Amino acid sequence: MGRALELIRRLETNVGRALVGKPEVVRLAVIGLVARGHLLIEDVPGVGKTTLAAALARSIGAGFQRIQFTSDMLPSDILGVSIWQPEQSAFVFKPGPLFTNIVLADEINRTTPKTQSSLLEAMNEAQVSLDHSTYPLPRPFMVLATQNPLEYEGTHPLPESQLDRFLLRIRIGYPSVGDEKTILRGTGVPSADALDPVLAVEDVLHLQGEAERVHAEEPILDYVMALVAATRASPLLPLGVSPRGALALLRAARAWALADGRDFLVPDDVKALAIPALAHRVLVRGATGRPSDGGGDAESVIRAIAHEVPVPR
Amino acid sequence: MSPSPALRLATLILACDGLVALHLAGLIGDGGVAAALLAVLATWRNAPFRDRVNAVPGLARGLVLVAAIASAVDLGYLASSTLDGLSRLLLFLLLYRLAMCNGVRDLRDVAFLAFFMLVAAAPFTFGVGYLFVFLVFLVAGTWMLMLYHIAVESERLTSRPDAPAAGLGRDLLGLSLGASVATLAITAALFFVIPRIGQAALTLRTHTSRMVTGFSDRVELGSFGQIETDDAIAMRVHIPEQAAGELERRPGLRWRGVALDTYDGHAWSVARRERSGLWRSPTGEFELGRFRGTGPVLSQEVYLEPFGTDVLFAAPRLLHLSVRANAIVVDDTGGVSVPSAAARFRYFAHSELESGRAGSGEPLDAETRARFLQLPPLSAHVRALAREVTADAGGAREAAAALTAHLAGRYRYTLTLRRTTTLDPVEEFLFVQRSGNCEYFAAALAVMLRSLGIPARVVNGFQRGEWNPYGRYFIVRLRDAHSWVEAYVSGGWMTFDPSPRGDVGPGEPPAPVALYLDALRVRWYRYVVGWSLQDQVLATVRLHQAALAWRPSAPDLRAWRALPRELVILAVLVALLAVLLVSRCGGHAAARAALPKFYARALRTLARRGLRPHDGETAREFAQRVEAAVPACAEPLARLTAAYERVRFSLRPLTTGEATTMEESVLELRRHAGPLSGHLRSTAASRPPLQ
Repeated sequence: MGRALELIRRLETNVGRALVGKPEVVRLAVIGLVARGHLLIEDVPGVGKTTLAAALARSIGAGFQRIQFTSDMLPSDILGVSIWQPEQSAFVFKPGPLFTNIVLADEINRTTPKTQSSLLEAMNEAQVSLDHSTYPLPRPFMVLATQNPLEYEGTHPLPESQLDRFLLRIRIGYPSVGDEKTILRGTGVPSADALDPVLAVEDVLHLQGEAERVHAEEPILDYVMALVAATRASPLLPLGVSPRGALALLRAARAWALADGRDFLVPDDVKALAIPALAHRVLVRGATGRPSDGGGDAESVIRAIAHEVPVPR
Repeated sequence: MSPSPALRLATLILACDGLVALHLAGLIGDGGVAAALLAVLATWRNAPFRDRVNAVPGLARGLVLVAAIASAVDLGYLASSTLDGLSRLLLFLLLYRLAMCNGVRDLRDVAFLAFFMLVAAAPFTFGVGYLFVFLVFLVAGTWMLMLYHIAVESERLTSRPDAPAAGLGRDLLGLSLGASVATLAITAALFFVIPRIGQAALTLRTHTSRMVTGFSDRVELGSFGQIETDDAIAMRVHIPEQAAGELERRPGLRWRGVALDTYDGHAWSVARRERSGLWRSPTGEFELGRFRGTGPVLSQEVYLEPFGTDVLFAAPRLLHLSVRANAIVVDDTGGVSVPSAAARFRYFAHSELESGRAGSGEPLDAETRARFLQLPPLSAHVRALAREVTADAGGAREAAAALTAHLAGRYRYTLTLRRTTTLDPVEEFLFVQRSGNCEYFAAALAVMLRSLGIPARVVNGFQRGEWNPYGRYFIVRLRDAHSWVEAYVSGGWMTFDPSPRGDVGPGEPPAPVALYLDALRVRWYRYVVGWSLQDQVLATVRLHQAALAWRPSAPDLRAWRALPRELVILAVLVALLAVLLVSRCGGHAAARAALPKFYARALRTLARRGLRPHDGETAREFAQRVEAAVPACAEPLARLTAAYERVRFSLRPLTTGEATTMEESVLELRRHAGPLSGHLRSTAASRPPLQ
């Protein structure tokens, strides 16, 4: 318990050195890792999406690959390809950049749906199926995707099914004036690539195991169900949260509780994660129909729901 | 700003209940109660009427003024009693409040008015119907008060009195049902224990709806004709001991009332009655006659309805009377009356029944003999008839029996009485009509006996009535009113009944359901309305004896069968209901018990300061809000919140030391969250802590 907390603090501090003034965003990113989830970091260009993803990846002594998505990218560019080896008289699988611990999928909505969907199986089941063979991905495996909501030129919005596979969607937002000046000065702010790893792979696996053991009392489960049911019943949301969404919320809340130094859940854990864990899974009526368009609206609807649903006492 | 439908519905039920109570007590009539009920129901949609009245300036005030004047006139000059006037005033106020209802407070006033209606009706109803009115009021009243409380509280909080949703009504109705059952159980226990005030309140309203002729000092011949078709119940005679079969074999059982000695040719009256007041003996009972040992003794418990007479009826010859009165009036013909019997009356009597054997054998003194031989100038035909019928009789007793048989056999009983001649009524009955009701038969027999020199008197009372096997009592109706003759033969007064009416009353026997309901009514009166100090003492003594005699061995369980079956069934039902309620509440209690006590106390402390967590607010968010409002509370509340979260959501109990810390924290919170000290404390808290 104490060790888990210490590990998380160490990781947070390390990532926080690169992403100045955004402890809550760093916390969410760490939770994504501890909860065995994938993160979707969505914001305007230049607020540090890539920095956050890279800092998190670098802070762990694990494999790290960065994939810059472009419109001409093919699935094989990510997953890998089987190549004829004349010496062995056989096709030999040459793994793509996905075969690592942390994948930074930069500007994921710039590539075609075909390439995006090739990520699906990998994200969900931590394995890759290609040419009648299944290749397991290393553990831990985490996809940190970034996307730009305002930039429509040459982008392909992520389908809901794929959005549902991200545990959390994080928005970074502009830094405060003071923090931005610190960044401008450049003193004491290392680049993400210059960070030293502070956690070993075993530590990450240990944290993930600890998070799963966080105790959830019956009223907490009821509270999660009440929140989810409220999104399904809301007249503003034609598509509510899926059971996978409910599971994601609980998993993220467990990691949050661990990061808070507890081995049991309290309603605050669930409530705090309602927006990052649920807002990208719902459709808002009246928007263009694409969740990424109405993102802002979805967040306010979820916020209202979290404000209204009675908390267990 | 209109109150919720559930609240209005509950109030309307209360109003209707109050009206029915007044009706049961006879304070408003059938037509009146129907009109009032319709008016009450019509006020469900009162808004158009209210707005129209309010649109005219001063109209509402004018209406009230007119009604006030009308009430004053009514109370002062019109109403037959103050209570009648007051009940009409209550009725007006209720309807006015309902019609002009503009918010929850009007509904509360209506509920109070309905309560006063019940209170006004209570002293004047003996019926078991009042029980149902009362139960409805208890349930609806509890429900209404809860809804009202919620409406007022939510109005204070949100200034929206309609905040409680419609669904609340149904939940609360269930709750109020439970609460009412509990209330009833507790009050029932209290009822049987608290001291009685007796029937002191009953004399407030001595007006009775029915006056019966035939039981006064002067009775015109034929006056029973009017009442002998009346089905109303005059009294019920409960026979505690004798077996029913034995009573069936005793067809001549009658309930004797007054004896009349003087006949003036048209009416029987009492000329020289010697009345004496008899005070209660130290044992609380009245001794009226000596036991002669000639006949069996019959115990009777009589419930006399208030039908406008002060005579007490009992089987002849009355030995002993036990009645809740300080004094009774006894006359020299054996009639007993109480000074005021406006209300239902209950008394015990012991009588020695006639056996047919001779009495004491003492002859009457001359004065008394002359009194019972008095006759007006009499037609020779009557004397001749009497002599002719008794020509073969050996003695006075045989003569009386012969005359009785003659009248019973040759004359017809009828209730259609008419006069076609100007003859003396007895003569017309004997020689012209040859038919009449019991009074004519009795008068004819008495006159003929007197003409033969046998002392005789006419007695008015009731015949036996129908036997109710469910309650072991006789139902005596007004139509059972009867006249017969007592003649002084063989040294004692003997009963002779010449009327061929016999003991078969008109009409078919009532259905078992009706009999059972009537038995229920008697029990209600016996064990609730008439529950007396004596009953309390007796119940206590029985309980005491039962407790002393109790041995927890198996055969003794049979003793339980001696308990009234209704009581056992009721107890079982109450126990079942209690178990049900407890098990249902148990779920809620378990859920609520999960809120640790120290935290609940902290919440209550803060609630007094006006700080309550919202539905969607977590404990930490609430703590932050409290910190912003009362910074001094932040520290203890943070400790309490952390402990609460641990106890509540990880199920790890506090250690003893932690529990003490929490107690201290709650106390600290209480100090800082005092209703007035908030501001001062908040500045004080900015200093560093002392330790």
